[in-house]
Amino acid sequence: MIEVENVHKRFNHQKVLDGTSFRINSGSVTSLMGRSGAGKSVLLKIMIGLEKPDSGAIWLDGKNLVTLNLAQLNKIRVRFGILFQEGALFDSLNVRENVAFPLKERTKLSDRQISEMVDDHLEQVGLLNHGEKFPSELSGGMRKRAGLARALVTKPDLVFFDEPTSGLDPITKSTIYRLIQKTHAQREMTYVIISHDIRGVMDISDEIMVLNDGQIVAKGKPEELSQSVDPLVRQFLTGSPDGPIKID
Amino acid sequence: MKALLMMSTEDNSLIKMALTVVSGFLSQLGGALIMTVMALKSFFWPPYRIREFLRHLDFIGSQSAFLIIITGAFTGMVTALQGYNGMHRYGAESLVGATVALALARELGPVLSALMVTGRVGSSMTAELGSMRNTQQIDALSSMAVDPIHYLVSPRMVASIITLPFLACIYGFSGMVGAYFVSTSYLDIDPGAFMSGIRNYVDISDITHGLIKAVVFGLIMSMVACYKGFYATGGSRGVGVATTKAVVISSVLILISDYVMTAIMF
Amino acid sequence: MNKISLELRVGIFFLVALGIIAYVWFKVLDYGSSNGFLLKAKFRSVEGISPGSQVQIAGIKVGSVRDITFEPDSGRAVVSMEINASYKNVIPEGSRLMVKTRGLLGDRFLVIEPGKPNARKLKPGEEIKLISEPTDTQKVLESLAVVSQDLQVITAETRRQLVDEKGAQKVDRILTNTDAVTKDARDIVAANKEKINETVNNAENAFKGINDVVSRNKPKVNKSVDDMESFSKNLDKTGSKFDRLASDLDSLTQDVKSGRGTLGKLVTDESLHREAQGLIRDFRGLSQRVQNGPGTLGRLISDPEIYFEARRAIRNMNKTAEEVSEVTPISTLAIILGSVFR
Repeated sequence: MIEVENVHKRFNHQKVLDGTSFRINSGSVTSLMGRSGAGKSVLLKIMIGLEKPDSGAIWLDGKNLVTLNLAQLNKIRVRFGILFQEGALFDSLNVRENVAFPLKERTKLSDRQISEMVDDHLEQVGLLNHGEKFPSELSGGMRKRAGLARALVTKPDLVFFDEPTSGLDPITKSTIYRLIQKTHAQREMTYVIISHDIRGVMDISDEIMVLNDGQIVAKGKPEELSQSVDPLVRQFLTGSPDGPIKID
Repeated sequence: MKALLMMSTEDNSLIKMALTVVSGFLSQLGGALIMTVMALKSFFWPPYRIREFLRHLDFIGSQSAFLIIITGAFTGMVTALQGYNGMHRYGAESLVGATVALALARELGPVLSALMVTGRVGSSMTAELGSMRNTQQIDALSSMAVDPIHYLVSPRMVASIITLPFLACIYGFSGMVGAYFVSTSYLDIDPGAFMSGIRNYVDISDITHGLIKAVVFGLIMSMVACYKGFYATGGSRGVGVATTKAVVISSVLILISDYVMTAIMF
Repeated sequence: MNKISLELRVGIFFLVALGIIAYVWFKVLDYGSSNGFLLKAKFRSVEGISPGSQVQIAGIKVGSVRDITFEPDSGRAVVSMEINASYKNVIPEGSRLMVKTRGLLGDRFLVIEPGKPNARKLKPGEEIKLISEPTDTQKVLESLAVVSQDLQVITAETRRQLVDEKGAQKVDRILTNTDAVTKDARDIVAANKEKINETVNNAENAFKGINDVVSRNKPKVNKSVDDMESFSKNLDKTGSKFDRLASDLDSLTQDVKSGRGTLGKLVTDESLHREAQGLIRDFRGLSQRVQNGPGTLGRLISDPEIYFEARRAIRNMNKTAEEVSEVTPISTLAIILGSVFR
């Protein structure tokens, strides 16, 4: 589905991505793990074309996103759904308008059809009764759910989740994970989850990749990874301060 | 020898520092200008977001009107008092009307209303865009194939440019009303003399020049505010810093450009 | 907040703002009621008048100058004025058009002095035939300078004859000459009296101070002329008592030279000149202050009165500068006369 090939990116002499390469299979749920500041968010921005890498390529259906111009990129972006860290709901619009926004902008559906689709998706994330509220009136979990509804409402092929559970309580966390699982089961979509919540994503992922120092240092199915003897992976899993990764 | 080397490296670093400062300033200026051109150009491209545009017209115009009326009235009143103070000595009290009208039409109306709007609207534009940047709303727009400059910056800029001349008009008018009341009731100036002074001394060019100024101020204010907000980094503190800078920079630019325009036009 | 809809609020805002603009435009500034009609007039000079200049009748603004073109055939400036529609069929034929100056340093504008009320009324596009050309101060002063040069020649001759030859006949002839010349001079002065008065009035408009000086000196001028007249008449009558007269004349000339007597005072008194110069200096200082002053805002706050008068001065800088040069000859006239009689 999407392939990242030898991507390099540096900010002011600090290497963030250093030859990152991987491939994500169509229809799978892939989790990209890494410490905070390991370059996950930058990688996501590069994958959706918000940032240009210094070198390397992002392949999607035989096209290199890096070399496309904005108009071409926008044509491909239509197939993306993205759940940003804090939901990134538009402050000036209420929940319904937020969810309807991508439909209004990208499709020529009638208001009625849009309204029906929005209702569907709001119901799915359990926010049907909060449609008239503004983002500032919502809790963090509700914002993420609304963001999820907005990411999914266009029926994208490829959905990116940027830290879908950060800053949430355990119950809300598992609710979100269940929602991800549920929606994935309904439609054939490729999910890319960026997270550092390794235990959470273990249950829902088909494949897990670990990003460290700008490179993919380990990848495999969750059960393979949990069996791994690699000290770095083990440190990740246990969350121990001792190990190959040292935090100064 | 060693000292010499050190000196030369110090010199180098100084030059480098100066270069970074200058290039930083120039790249900001360039960035702001590019964004302005993009925003103004793309305003005329579809899709037309009329409601979004109306929202900004409302925020910048209608909702500022009260503030503008109040500040304008008091400005006019105090200008009348001060003008009377000076005119009285020469027995030219009838010129108070003309004085206030000219001051309001050419300088005070456009400049002070632009400064008021900068404080009220410019700051909120920067803060809004800055927080949208920091909560990834701008990224979200791009990722939905919506041009954030077209969606966010264009309506703000165009609304500012359109609205500010009108606000300057309202400012000037309410200032004149204030001056009229102070002059006729408190300073005992003949109402007829007040009005005929305006008629004789205010030229249509005074008003048009004031309006041209207001248009430029609207452009400057929205340009600085949008640019600072759009590229704000560093979380809520960054947004705060950007807001302060936007207000300071646009106020300073408004006053500088006022001088330049006055020097050119009169 | 949502009681009044967004659209309504924006609509109200712009309607009110446009209403204000319209009110100011039509009611306060009285522009725009522009379906007026055109009247034409030909001037030899329209110095200080430009498109937009006011046209007044009895102090009421009735229109403005639309444009000014040069007509090569007649060598005149054709001024077309746009008069408000409400003055259609009001301005009678035989009205007189003149250029006036407002205030101390003010704009120039056109004034229509209506003709007989029962005369035919002017139709749109017609020409006002009666024109009062703006007075050309320069010309009046130039003719005066010519007179004074003539006088200088005569007096120089007189003095030479008196000192060198002392022949009674020659003196007689000279005296007749002087008499004729003085008469001539009187005639010229009398003929130009109106013009001089106009000059003085003009100067009065521009410089009140000069007016004072001139008016203070006016009787002296008249008196001087009288003195000179009676002096020459006396000479004429008493040709036989030559010796006494000659000595009288001598002492008189001495008086004139040393600055005694009225004529002498006028000739030698430099205060007129100095006062005029002081005024010019003051004016220069004023315009310089205006030119070098800080930004308009600053000017407004620091000295609004000067600003408003001087703003118009700057707008008409050329014009006012010429006015200064027009007035300068008045002060040099004193010097010229001084050198003549000394």
